[in-house]
Amino acid sequence: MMMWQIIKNEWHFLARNRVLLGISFGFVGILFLTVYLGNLQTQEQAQRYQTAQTHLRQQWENIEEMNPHSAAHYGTYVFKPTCLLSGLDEGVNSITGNVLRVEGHVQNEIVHSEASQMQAISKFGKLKSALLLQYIIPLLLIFLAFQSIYGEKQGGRLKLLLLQGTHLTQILVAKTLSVCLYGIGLLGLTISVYVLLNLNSINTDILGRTALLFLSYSFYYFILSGLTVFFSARWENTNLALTSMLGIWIVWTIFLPNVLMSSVERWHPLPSREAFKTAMKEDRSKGLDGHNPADKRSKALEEKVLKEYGADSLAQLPINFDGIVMQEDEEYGNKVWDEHFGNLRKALAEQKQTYQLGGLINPFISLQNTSMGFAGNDNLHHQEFLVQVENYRRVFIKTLNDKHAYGGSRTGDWSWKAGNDFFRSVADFEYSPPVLSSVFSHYVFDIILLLFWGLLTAILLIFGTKKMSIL
Amino acid sequence: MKNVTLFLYEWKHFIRNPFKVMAILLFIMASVYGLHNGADLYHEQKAEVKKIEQRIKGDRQKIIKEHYQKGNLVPENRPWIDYSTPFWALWYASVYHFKNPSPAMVYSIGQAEQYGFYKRITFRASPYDADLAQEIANPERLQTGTLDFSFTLLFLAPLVLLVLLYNLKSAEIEQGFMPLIEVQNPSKITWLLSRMGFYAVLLFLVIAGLLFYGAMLTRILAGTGNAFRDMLLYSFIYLVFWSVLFFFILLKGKSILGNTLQMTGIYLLFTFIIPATVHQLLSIRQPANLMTDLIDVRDQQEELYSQPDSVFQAQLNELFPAIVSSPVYKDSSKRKLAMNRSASALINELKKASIQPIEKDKQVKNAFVRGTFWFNPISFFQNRFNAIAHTHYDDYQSYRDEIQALVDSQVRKMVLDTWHDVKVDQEKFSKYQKMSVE
Amino acid sequence: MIDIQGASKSFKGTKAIQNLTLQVTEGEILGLLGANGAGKSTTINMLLGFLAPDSGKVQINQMDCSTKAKEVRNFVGYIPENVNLYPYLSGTENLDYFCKLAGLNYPKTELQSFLSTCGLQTEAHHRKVSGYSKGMRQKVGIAIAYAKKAKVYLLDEPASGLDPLASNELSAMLKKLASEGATILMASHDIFRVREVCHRIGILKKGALVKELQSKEVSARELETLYLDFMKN
Repeated sequence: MMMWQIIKNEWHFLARNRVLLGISFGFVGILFLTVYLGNLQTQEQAQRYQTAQTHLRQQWENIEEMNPHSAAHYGTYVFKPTCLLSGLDEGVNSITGNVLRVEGHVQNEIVHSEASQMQAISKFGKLKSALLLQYIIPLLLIFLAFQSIYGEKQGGRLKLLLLQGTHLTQILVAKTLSVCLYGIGLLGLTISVYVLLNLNSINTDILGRTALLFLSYSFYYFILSGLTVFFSARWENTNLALTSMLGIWIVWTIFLPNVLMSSVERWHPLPSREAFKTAMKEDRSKGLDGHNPADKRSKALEEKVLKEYGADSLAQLPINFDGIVMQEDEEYGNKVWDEHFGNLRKALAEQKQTYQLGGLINPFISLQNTSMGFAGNDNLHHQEFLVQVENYRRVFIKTLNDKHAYGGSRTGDWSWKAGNDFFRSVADFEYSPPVLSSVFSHYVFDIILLLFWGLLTAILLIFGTKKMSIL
Repeated sequence: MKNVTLFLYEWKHFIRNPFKVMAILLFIMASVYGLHNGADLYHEQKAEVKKIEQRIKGDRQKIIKEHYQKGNLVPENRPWIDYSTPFWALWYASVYHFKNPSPAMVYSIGQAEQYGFYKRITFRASPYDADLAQEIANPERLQTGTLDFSFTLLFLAPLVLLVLLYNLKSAEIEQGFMPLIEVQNPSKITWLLSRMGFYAVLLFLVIAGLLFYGAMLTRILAGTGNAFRDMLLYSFIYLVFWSVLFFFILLKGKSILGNTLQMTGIYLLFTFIIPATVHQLLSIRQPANLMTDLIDVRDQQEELYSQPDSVFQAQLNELFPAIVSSPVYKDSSKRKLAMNRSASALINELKKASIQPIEKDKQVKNAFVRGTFWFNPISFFQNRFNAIAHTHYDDYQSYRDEIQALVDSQVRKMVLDTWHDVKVDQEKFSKYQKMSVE
Repeated sequence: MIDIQGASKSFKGTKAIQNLTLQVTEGEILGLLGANGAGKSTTINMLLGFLAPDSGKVQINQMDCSTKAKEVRNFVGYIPENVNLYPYLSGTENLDYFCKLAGLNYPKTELQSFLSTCGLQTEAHHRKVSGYSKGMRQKVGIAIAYAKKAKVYLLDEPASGLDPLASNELSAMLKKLASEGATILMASHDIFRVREVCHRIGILKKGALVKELQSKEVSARELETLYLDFMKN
């Protein structure tokens, strides 16, 4: 009850202070604008994605007739789709490529990122809600909270408040909550507007993600508000409280994420492109060469297939042996890709896990992780997209190789062509974004760290101010 | 004289404020870390280039030894290859084009991590090939950005300046002795300028020292470029920009809190809000190009192959009129093969045509960004620093242009030598390896 | 009632209060005179439970002020030299806020009657406190204690900086409170106001009570001479 009174009073202050009211309205305006612009950009990008994807599918379906293996070389392209929550937090999307070629013999890498298409503009990304929610609103909370206790002390009001029977802890917690709720209010507004704008596309998964996003930010706002109130109570000087928190903001949001991320990449190094490609090429060369019938391993396979069909020569085979060789070649290649790309993904996962540990000294890292993670735009989701495309590629190429082998042609007949019906029957790539339940475990640690920091802040507020001077 | 005294006296104010001293020390530490990050990337890229050069050298030596010197020009296990033909000789000449890192990369990593810096040049290559992809990196790190020197200069230096200046004049007002100062000094502006001047000069000296330290890491001063001088100049202008903004805030401000709020607000506006808004607006105006024009070359290529030989030949002749007078043109037994091999030339033209709208799209984007520089100074300085370090978009665009020119050159050489029935020997093969833009 | 027995308090080796003994009974007003740093505010802070004595006991209504601070504060009112209220709230709202913190929920009319009782003009009740004079804020401060039905009033330099009229009104209010049975301890520099309002006067010097006398026993002039003598020696 008492705490509620204090919170109400703080909000009175906010409502009656023209400057703060102006700033609040300004912020709400900017937040709405970011939501609107973010949403618009996501829609524009989705539109472009849809047009490109349809165009590519049409090209594929318009193939009148083509040799299946030529079609494997003709291949197709997959574009990285936008996630609904990209409008809130774009994550790694502008850095990663957008176009992935799907073809035989090789697992390609995604290329043509948005960032590579122009000169540098913003080091902190686009004007997305995440930019304001992660960088600017915390600063606003610091400015709102840094005088909260010192101001009361200075005017002697703290004594009056305590004389009325309020406990110091109640005052500290109430002040923290009032500031934190201000941030949560802005966050809530942002998310509500986003949900309203996308009401037709919202499903339970998106709602769950949004709720967790909301929770992570709320924890972070509590931590920042609490620490600022703590400093305001402990420091003898209001400027010191402000400068301490500004220092923390700089170190947490600008300095440490950069330093930690760079360090993590040193601790778990990734191979250079040249080394990666050379190693794969070397391993790949140990398999059979689908395009070289003289290859020793092709000969062994030939004997095996001839035996299977009870034939003496390839010409007697009722099937096209070339297709079988091509698929065998693919299967071997797939093992090589699995190993090398698997190692790459392992190193990336290790980097992520180590980076997550950074949340122990910097809750902003945990916030950033959960924000882009729950928004579905972190590296984990990106890797999942790549894996799905690769899985599709394997099915796609196998379909073509099987058609080549068992579609009616004979060995050596490269002029044989499959018809349009076949090409139309080859399924298009469909991306199924990972569901929340499958990715949640990756962020549990970040949430625990945010909780840990929240708890630490609460302990600081309760016990760290025991010896605080009231006078 | 009085102003000089004020200027010098500020040292005492500074040194007795542990918070300000700490801010400078942290800035130095972050900058040194950033400089080392830049230097490391420079050295890594240099080492990578060297490694590839060595590999290429080995590959070429192997071909010379096993095929040209032994006369084994058509390998038994790969009978379709003939090293004596310009087509295969050029294919295996392993011509690479590198974007050698500039020692000035120590100052700004810029967009170096968004592009590849080595590319194999063949008559089938294009500057948009997948093998020109960026180095393998964690996208989350790229998104967070590497802490390089330009980052500390662009984003931390204004904050350090803020910390150094935030209480000038307002502390005196809050403590109630501003009238005393005004009585002693008739010009408030000169008094404030002298005090601010001290911090601006102090920070500039620190930056100059750091630039010098960076220069030592990659031996910039030993080179012929003007990177050190240019960085010094633009750092100075950048510092003046922030100093002027902060000066007016301090001149009008009456409280520490008010000044801090305004200075932080202006910092956020210029470093976060304006660049992010420009970025967002640009993305809405022109979303990421999905390169469908380039992809369409695939179908155009199919159409090209399905054309009658006469049309195909006519197109080739138009591109290379010298073909008509070549010996192969007159020899019908060799003509078809030469035509097939020359298809790369027509495909190269198709690719170039498809790249044009993509390049135009990029030009429009970049023109839009440049057009915002007058109100978006941080992006301007960021790109200036990148340009000095040769890690700017334009540097990579020039690199792509060079690649295209080299591909054109390869195509020309392959087509003309094929039609002129040139037999490639070890000497010719060595010549092919020394490709340059013609 | 207020009961201090042999209380001492030091800050970093400096003795702020030395073996202080004093009592204030119900309906009595005790004025504490003393120079800056004499220990007046320390005494009040000990009574408020914000400082614990190093030795001796400090009690209100037989309850130890440091160990049972929360209980003691239930019936203590405190009026500092500067009553700093929330400037963006009106007098009524400030009073309402502080009452609610104490768990008291008064209707608006009653809140206004408290303010009127404490001398705040009706037209000022709804004005924002940012426009109040120091005396007006003082009245709201007294109203906070009054509304809490405080039995003990601790005033730290309450008349400092008040104009004569406001100071006079404050004196009348304190006398009224005392006549209703309140125990009042008032620390001040103002010899004349203390003599006029208080029943008893104590002179503090370097943390020790060097003189205690009845107001009636001395004239203002005599009190001034006495006070100055103590300060000089």
